[in-house]
Amino acid sequence: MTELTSTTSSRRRILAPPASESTARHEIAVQINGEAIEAEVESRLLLTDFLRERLGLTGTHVGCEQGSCGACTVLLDDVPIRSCLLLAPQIDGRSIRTVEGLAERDGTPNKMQQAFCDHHGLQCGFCTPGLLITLTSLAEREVPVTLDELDHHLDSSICRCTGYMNIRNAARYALGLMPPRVEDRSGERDGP
Amino acid sequence: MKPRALDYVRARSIDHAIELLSTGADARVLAGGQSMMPAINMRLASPDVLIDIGRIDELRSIEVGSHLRIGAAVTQAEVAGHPDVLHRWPMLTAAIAQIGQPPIRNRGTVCGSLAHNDPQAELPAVAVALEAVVTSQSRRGTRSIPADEFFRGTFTTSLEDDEIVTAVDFPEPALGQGWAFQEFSQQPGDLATAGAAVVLNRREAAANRVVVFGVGVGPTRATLIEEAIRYTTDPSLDPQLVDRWGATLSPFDDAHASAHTKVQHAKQIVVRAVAEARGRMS
Repeated sequence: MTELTSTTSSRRRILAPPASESTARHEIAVQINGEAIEAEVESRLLLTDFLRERLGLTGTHVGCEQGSCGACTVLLDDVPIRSCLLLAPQIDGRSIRTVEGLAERDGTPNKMQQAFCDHHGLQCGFCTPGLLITLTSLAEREVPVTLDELDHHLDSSICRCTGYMNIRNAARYALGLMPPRVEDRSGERDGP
Repeated sequence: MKPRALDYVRARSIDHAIELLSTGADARVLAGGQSMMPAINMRLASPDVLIDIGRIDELRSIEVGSHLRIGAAVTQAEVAGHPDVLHRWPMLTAAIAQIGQPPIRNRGTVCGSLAHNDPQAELPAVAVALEAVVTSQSRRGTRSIPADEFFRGTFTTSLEDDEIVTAVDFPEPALGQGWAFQEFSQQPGDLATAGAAVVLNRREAAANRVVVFGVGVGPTRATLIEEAIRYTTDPSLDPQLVDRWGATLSPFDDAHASAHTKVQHAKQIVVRAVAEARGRMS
């Protein structure tokens, strides 16, 4: 990956690679994880690829590219959306939060990330960024979350390791929904 | 996959969008993009130009009065989360809860789902059941198109190439109306293999509507069933009648269910939905 940047202004500026095709380009100004970024993007560039290829934020994963798997979920103005179904020029003037922007500035994991560590909420880790984004947005909202709602939101990410029980335990713990005690959860574990 | 090279234009106003659409280029209107973008990523659709209407202020409002008016850029989540909608148009809230997952509904629009007319989609059936009216606009003027005339078949509507949907209006449901929305899908959020939207009226039985989707070319009124329940208050349907109606359906086999299974699902769903709607009449 070659990241073409220029830092003549206080904002980081990302340039598009040399054109291999005639396509319109757009100047966008966005906030990514709190950082103001100006970029030149092609019309057809997906937000996932803008984040991964141009900004090097590879925490946002690319799975199905049709909105089904949830691996690419990011927050657009604090609302979870599929970044594979958005074109980069569409985010002009808006703010994006990715999994890289969830931890505190000093690197301390947020509550949901810590709960994933404590409750073995990930196996291969592919679905994890999307789940952390979706569940963090649930944890940050003001209206209390019900268990049904949690399950509904878990349904928005596909975990091919089928590690849902531990993910659910982690989320229940972080959301204060009848937290299972770590030493007591043998009955809810996946597998033998 | 990735989209092929295309141009993207963000429309500033309805007039701007219409002007862009009438240039004759192979252009498509983009609102929430939750159906359009998968199609473009898979290159099932490859327009030269995408006209983004998602940030046009004039299209961003939900108006609640004697009827409900939903602008073309209003998301499904915004409609489902509106307290007046839950209270007065509960079928809309119930149907939206079945669409994809929360992040999909955070972007997907109500009007976009109508204009797309996926035969397995929930909202076209709801629009027919609730007698919604679609408003469209082009250089030639504005049209109001009743839902009955709007949906024309698989992914097909009566919209002309140079028209955009600007809003949809749902009239106030009649007093004492019973309603039900049911669908069968392999897991929550999946496309339905069969679904039904039912509206039953105490006073005006002629206005009863039993609309099925997922088993044919889009929202289809089950007229046999509608006629049969017109003069009865019995919540259960005659199984022979349901069989006769089922024989009129001609869905396709797909990866989720065979045509035969879909017909079986449709029959079950209609029976359940009519009973549920009866139970809600007051």
